[in-house]
Amino acid sequence: MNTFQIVFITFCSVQAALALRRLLRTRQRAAMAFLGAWLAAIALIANPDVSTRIANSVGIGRGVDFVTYFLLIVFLWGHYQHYLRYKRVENEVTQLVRELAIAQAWRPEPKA
Amino acid sequence: MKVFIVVPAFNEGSRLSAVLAELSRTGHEVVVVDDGSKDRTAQEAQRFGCYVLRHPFNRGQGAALQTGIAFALREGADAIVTFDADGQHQTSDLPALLEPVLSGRADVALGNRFLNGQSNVPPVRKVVLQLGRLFTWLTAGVRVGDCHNGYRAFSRKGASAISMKQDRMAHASEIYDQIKDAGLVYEEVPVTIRYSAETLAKGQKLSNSISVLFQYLYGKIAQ
Repeated sequence: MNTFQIVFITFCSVQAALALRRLLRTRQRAAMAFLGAWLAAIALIANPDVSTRIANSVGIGRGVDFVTYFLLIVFLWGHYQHYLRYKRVENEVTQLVRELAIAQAWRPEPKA
Repeated sequence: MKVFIVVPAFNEGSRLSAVLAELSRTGHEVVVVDDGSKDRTAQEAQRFGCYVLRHPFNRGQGAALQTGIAFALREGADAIVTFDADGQHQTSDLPALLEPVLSGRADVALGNRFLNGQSNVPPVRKVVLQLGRLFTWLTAGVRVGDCHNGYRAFSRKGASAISMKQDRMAHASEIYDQIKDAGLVYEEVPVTIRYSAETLAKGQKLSNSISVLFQYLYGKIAQ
């Protein structure tokens, strides 16, 4: 095992342990997804040939290229999901502000 | 007929007085939506006997307009006019703008600053507005001569069909999608826009139009 593998596997293991603790405490699906991602990262770092074999099976030459493409897609998808969520929250904040403004409207004296 | 004039205002304290003094002479109900101003915008509006709605923090012009429209509808408005707080719009155009709506001929009356040739539109602004016009035609399929003119009148039916989700400036493009989708009848009315150094400084700039374009497109994606 080289230095890169030792450092990254250690880091990923700590993250996996934290995700596992979160999963056990909260039963959140997101925690399960993160646990799976960290375990997959550990497996790929420990066995670099695995990513190359997967890459070759889908027509990509190098394992590192396969991982890069995969992460790019995951990042874009995640970013889009966050954007949708952000817009939804923005709309909800505006609706809340609107209802507050209407409920607390200052009214002039009735016209004679 | 109960007419409400909605004036969205953000830090307009200094210019608002002159606008409200004119609007109060029209005899219509005036609703000022203070969009989280840090100055005396709300106090100025109260001084002129307007309805004053306050956003606790700034949500953008689109959000402020929608708040004013929602309030006016709840108060039983038969027609609603949107009017800028910076003094660019003229109350002398109000009867002509309201006429198509009050007569029942149209659901929406859209002010057009190019029809009477009396607006002092700067050349760069003209180019931007023409590009906006082309954009509105391509995206919403609505052909209007002055799509980013905030001086508009809505019938109760027209206002009820509009629900702006674009909080910031992209509402000006979004509204045409909704006019088209709801099948609202619209009419363009000549209005005069008066530009001054002050309004040009605070108003929309060429660089902003790119940002507004992206707001609109992102908003479409998020729908």
